[in-house]
Amino acid sequence: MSDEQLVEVSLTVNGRPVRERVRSDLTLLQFLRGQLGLTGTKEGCRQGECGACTVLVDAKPVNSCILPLLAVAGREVLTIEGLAHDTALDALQKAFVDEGGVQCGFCTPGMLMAAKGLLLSNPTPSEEEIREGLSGNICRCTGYRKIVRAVQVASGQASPVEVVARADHSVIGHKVARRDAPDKVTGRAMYADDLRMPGMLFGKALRSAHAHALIHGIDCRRAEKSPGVVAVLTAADIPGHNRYGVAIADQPALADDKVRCVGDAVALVVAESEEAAAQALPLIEVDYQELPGVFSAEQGLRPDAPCVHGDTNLLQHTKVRKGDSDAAFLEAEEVVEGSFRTQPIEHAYLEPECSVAVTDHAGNLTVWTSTQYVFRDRRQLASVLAMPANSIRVVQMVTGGGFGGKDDVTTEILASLGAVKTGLPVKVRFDRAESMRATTKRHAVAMKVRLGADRDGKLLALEAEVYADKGAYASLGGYVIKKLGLHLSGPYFVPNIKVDTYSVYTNNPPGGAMRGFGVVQAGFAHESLIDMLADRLGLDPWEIRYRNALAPGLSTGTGHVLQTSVGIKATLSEVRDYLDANPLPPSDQTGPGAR
Amino acid sequence: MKKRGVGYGCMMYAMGYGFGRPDSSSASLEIAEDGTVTVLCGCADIGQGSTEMLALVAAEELGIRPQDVRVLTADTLMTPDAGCTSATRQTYVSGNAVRKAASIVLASLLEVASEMLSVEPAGISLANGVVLYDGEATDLTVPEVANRARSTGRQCTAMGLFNITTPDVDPETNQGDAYATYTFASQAAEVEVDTETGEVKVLRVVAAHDVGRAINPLGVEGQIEGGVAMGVGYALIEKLQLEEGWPLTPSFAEYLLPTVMDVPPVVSIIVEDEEPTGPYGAKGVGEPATIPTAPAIINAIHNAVGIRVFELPATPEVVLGLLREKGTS
Repeated sequence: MSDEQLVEVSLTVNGRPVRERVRSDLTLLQFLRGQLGLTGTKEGCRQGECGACTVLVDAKPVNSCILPLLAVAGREVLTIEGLAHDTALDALQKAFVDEGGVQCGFCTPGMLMAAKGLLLSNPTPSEEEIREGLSGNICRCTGYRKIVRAVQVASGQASPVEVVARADHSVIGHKVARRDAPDKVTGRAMYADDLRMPGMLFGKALRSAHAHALIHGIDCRRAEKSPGVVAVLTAADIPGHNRYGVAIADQPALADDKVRCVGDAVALVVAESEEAAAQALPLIEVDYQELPGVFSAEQGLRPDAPCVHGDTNLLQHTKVRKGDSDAAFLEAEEVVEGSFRTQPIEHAYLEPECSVAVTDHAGNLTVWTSTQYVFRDRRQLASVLAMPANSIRVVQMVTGGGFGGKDDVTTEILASLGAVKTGLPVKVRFDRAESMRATTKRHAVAMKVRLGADRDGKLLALEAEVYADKGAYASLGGYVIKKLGLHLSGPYFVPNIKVDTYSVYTNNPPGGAMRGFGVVQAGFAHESLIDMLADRLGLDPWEIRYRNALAPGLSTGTGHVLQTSVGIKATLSEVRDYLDANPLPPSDQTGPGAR
Repeated sequence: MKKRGVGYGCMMYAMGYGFGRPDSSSASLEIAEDGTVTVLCGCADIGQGSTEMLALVAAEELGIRPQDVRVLTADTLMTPDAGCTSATRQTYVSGNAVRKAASIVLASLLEVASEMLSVEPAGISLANGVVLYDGEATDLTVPEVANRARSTGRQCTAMGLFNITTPDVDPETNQGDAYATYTFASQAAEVEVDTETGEVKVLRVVAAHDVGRAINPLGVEGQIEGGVAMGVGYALIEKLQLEEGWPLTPSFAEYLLPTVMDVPPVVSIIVEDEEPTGPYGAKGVGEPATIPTAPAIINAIHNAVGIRVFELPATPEVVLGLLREKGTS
């Protein structure tokens, strides 16, 4: 960047005057994080949609990720680092800590600044005004309730959470503020993208242009000559086994023979800046031969379906066989049936995936990353890099949510390939669109389920066929769909069960672990059916559940006879008692419900 | 017109990997000469609060204050392998691993304390940093005992392993004792359906969760409230739109998530049906928190307006379509 393209900008940041020569196209967020090293302000989407980057400009909350720096020249910027008064936390920060308003912490700085802006303009906002004021800030962990409560406490409108010490000196069972919360409310918590190292390079992957295609060749020569590019890697640069995966190693780190979904990494550009890497990506020429694809489980099982891997798309068929369901259905006085479909969804943790990798002179590799399991990352790195496991160190940085999506390798292998190739530290981080395109989803499933009962609503039999869209790679999908099948009878005793689940490869983004691990889908089916059964039999939906609920001495869908800690009936009773004692106030716009 | 309804959702969730998959955790624990404790455990805290949980377990077992425990997590060079943060397993598995390590160091401390007090170890316990004898506080403190233990070369560091790898199920029938233990929950959702727009507003969710024992009830509530929010998204809002394998919703402008405006009040009820093999009876709560919410909402919609949603999410268009089919709109 030549000097002419730099402009001088003056502003006040956290009470201190700042004057810098900067690129004219910088955003406020890039300036704060990159130039000033104020990494407490987070980047969640780069599109002004999630609010993680919220700072105050002249006491008003703004999304710093889309705000040009030059627009704030001469103005006062307050970031999370400036919120505490010397060492004393601001009342909002303290309330977020004490009330449990902090979990992964990635939305926290932005949420706090939005709340601060609100309280500066309205010191005692109503609950509705608090919600309004925070409506531009997404939190994926807390469900917002404790955040709203924290703002009420900080504004003196609610009393702080009560901590009652137990007589027996026990430290278990009290409400306790988390020890990681103070760092998270002050912007000190270090996430992977907050790491800066001398000489650090940036890696960016070229993603597949097709959902299913053969690769006949990759020409990197133009990309290699692009300004700032240090190396361009393809599958040929992988020292070890070019396949990884949590359950089955079926996913290439960089595509070799073919691409199986649009999220496949085809090549990796390592450059002096993220922009330089991005500019080189379109210069890579890939000779694809497009193949027909499969985009649903049902399609994938057709005899003429193109195969994603090998000669069948069926990854796994799991059978659950308990008792004699055919005979039981003949006896059943009432049978209900439903075809249920669920959608793929995104984990949407607020922190996009990021890793920084570096090698030392002895050939050891260290990877700092956002992950759910460092040892499995190490195992997969060792295999792809052909390195002994004990020469690889994987360190989890503060992680901004996972929900199953960071079970899998995300950026770890790419950053490590770059570091091994160049001998320099390499950071790889996904932006939101790349995260959506390349990482696992909750499985879309189609479930055909029948449930039979006697006249009193006693469950007799369950039968199901489940087809799961596995996407292009196994990830944990076989286990997820198996767990779905094993849980289709829910918390109820069902003596006769016949379930078949099929995990089917397609050219969609891979399905993987996501909070609930198949049981979310199972729950949608069994809970809908048991209500349908209650309707049919004229029974109360609570009553039919209670009558069939598991208890010590009864068996689960896998025939596991439970002995202890079977709290389903207690939870049912608690919910009903609460509803009976605390009816919602009626709304005058509301007509009567069906019941 | 707006119509209200209530619906139930219940669930059972098996904890841990089950059916023969390797499933264990390990942790190490050291007490320093001043009585402060360092726990090393591979357990990754991804926001759910496991690090605080591990500190509380160590403090409880050793009878010291939680602020005297420091926890280092998830570093392959420094910490023992705790398995993955998944399957709602870390409180159960890593909580037990830390408790086991702490119990070995505790035995050593009790022995040293009995020598210092010249009494039988059987009557000694530690609580709140103080040595008790027959339940009564003595003048001896845990730091003094730790200091003596260190200076006389006694065991002040220990490793704990907890392994819940279960036998595999029958491959043909999948029958067997598939998992170590199970959590249970019931939620009720109360909704208001706008019959003109198809919009569903969740008014309240009452959520009762059998967590075995709540190590940190504030954390358990946080998990339940967050799980309900995610369940609201799954039931009503979220969908990754795909066309020929391409996401059509690549950003948060198109992929909509629940905001603070969408999330209902949540009444969290913690049920503690203790699991004898859990640390202090604890099981877990992370995934179960979100499982019953979507079906509870779907059942509440049916209760309100008599339509049955078979395909998620129940967006206003879907609800309106079903209402028209039913001819009640």
